[in-house]
Amino acid sequence: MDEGHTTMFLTRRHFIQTAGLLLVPGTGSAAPQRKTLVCVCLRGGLDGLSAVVPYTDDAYFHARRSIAVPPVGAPNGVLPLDQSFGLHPALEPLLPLYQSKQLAIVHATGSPHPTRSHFEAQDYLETGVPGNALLDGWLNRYLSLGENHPFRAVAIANSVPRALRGGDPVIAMNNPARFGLRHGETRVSAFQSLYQNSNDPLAHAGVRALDTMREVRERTGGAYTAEGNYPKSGRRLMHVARLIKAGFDIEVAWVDVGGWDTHVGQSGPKSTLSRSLSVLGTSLAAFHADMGALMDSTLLVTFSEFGRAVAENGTSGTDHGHGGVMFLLGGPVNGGKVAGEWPGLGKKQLYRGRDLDVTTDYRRVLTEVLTNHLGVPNVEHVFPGFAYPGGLDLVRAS
Amino acid sequence: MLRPQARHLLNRLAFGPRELDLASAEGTSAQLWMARQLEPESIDDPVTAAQLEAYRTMLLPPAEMREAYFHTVRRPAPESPTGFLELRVLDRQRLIEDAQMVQFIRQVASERQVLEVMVDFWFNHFNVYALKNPVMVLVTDYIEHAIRPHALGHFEDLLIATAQHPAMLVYLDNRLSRAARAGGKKQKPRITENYARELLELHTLGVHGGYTQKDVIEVARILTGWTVQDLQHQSYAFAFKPKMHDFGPKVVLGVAYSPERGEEEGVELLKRLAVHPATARHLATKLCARFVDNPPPAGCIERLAQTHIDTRGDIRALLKTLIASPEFWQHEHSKLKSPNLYLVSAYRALGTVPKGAVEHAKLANAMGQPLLMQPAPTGYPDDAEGWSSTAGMLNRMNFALDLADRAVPKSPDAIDDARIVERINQSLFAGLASPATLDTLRTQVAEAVGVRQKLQTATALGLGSPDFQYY
Repeated sequence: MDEGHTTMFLTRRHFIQTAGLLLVPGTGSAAPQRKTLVCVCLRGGLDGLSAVVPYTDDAYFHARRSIAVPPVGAPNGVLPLDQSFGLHPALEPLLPLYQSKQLAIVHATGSPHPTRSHFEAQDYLETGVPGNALLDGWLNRYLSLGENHPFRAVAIANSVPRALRGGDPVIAMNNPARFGLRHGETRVSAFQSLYQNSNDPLAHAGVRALDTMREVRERTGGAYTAEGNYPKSGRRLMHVARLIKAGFDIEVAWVDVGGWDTHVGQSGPKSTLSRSLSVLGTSLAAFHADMGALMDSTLLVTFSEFGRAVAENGTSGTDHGHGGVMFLLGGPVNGGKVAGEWPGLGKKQLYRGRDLDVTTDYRRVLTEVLTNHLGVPNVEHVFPGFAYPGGLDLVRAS
Repeated sequence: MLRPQARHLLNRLAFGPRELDLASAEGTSAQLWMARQLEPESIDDPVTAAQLEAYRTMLLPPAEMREAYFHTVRRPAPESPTGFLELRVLDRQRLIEDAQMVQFIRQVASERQVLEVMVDFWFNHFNVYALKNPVMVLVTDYIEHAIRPHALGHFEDLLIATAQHPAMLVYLDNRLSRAARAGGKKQKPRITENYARELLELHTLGVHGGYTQKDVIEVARILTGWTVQDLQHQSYAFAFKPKMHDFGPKVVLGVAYSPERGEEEGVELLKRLAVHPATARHLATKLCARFVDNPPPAGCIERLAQTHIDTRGDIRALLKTLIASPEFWQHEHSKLKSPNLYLVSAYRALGTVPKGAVEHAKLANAMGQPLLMQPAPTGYPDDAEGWSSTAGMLNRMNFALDLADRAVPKSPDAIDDARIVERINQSLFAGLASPATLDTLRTQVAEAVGVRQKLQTATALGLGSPDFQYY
């Protein structure tokens, strides 16, 4: 082992040990703030055309006679962002963030793979190699490039999502406030010895669970007062903010937000889609407010396994489609724009005659995030086989 | 059977061994044990029947059952003279808990374990989500009348029964799918391809089963008009409504379906899909992943796929082939229990059922696998990595602590340390616990004070040990 590596390791250890004291929001600490990436996975297939409406395109209103978002100015109408696109009214909380250039949107983005199967498309989204469902997750490959430390990657979930699975350890917890072992310390040490004495691969998970628990307890004790107004069903991002604000040195966080498989129920302000978008918009804005100055070094990105068909189906909804939309939020974002080449909604412009085409591979967006925000030099390792055509000027180089 | 084989069989084709099951399995061969289990109606099951007595209402026809779950709630109403309004609403909480409890009781207590394991397997294969309205009213009927009667029958009957059950018709939206109205203005057909796609991808051929997007649409057209009689008025029977059906010609996987036959077309389609070679392979792969190992060994998949083709999807024959395969016996104790299997096997090992449904529902929920509540049509995954997270491990340890406290009597009889450890080894591990686990149990029992605490410690550590997480 060369000396340089050892020194770096010691420095990192030192940083980890002191981070909890230094990273209090708003104190303007001198320590360089850890860059954080927050991934919000919208499972089910978000309808990008409803979230970010091409409101000047007649083809949109034509294809969506009964479920189109009403025009600008109409009750519950589109909130214009620029000359071509506007937000769904339920995403109103995102409007000020767009205006302050902290929110960027990429439209007609997604995976080049034609599958319309949820689980296949989600597998590909998470392996980072469309067509290959057998690999580890792309985020775990990212983790393998850097130095490991206990709280580097956290999923607010019952189980580790595919994108984070692989050789590097990842923490999964539903809620830091309830992450503990009942019946006190004596039992903890009994379990500790049980798992430490075992050769089983599961033993690592067991020991890690107990260590993690101890640390979360020590550092997030007491009630949490969020600085933002999270919706009741959108508190997973609050848990992320809580852990980061408690000084946990989180590099990658992951939350799932569901409710997007809208074969039915896309019409009107009380529809499933409106409610899901409202939860999304409100919780993203709350997270932004809650994080405060920490947002300067945090980038949040959303993605979904595919968009939905351009034409409405017979049940006031849309079936599985192709191209969709991604949101990027945070200080490092070069926001206030809807990026990506717009393929159009004309019959001949549609993917396989029915879906919004993908003009921006989702890996292109994520590569720019990894390169500019997290400073990854070798993205080929994270997205093997992907030829990066350069960024879309979405993320400022740090 | 020898002890290790008996344990393996009861781990895989039952929800874990009870001590008495081990004893009786040791007295017979695997083939005879299976043969008996494959005739569930010939097995007496009085304990299950007695425990289900408390949930009689749940087993009524859906419309009647729903009526029984209405209750009166008081809501503040400033305009009313009393300031309150009395409303009759569906008690969704109690309904869902009871529905979970019925399945849970069967899994823990039933003597017909192979049947219950297969009901669980097929329900997961033909998943519906109880929280999509009004599936919660229909889901018990779905399991009792679409799944359970065919769980050890022919795959074709299972496929047709699920396709025509209102729970599935609601869950995957096929009830809404309709052709253009005849005589109306030029109108697009109002089909939805949700069920059609999952039918091909998940229920039959598998994602690489050789179908195209065109096939999905053609299947959806064939199934237009397969709907529910009148959902709004709680008339939950399956109905074929000719007015909604597309009577034009269709072609699926190169086979032309002659039009004008209405419902018959769909039945023909399902019968063809049920015995398609891609379906045989897809089901064989899933069965081997669940019962042998994940990833499943190739030889076993071959044998099961061939049996499916030879017997036109006879599930009994598939299970006989399964336990006759050498691979089945070569992959002992290699799979991590899913949260539900972990809970059920723990209750079985200790002979304790939880005090109330709420408790169990909360536990399964916290562990990420609440019964009847998987939103995605894929069902719950069958892979260890997903279940071995930090949160998952802590939940298991917490469950072990709670159950141990509950299972050990307030003033237990005197018993020495060595016998405590041996008792846990027998009840939880069929006498086959690993040396490392036994070592820790001995040390921790020695350190604990008093018989009750010793028993609790041993039980909790046993249930929470790495050994008990596998099956």
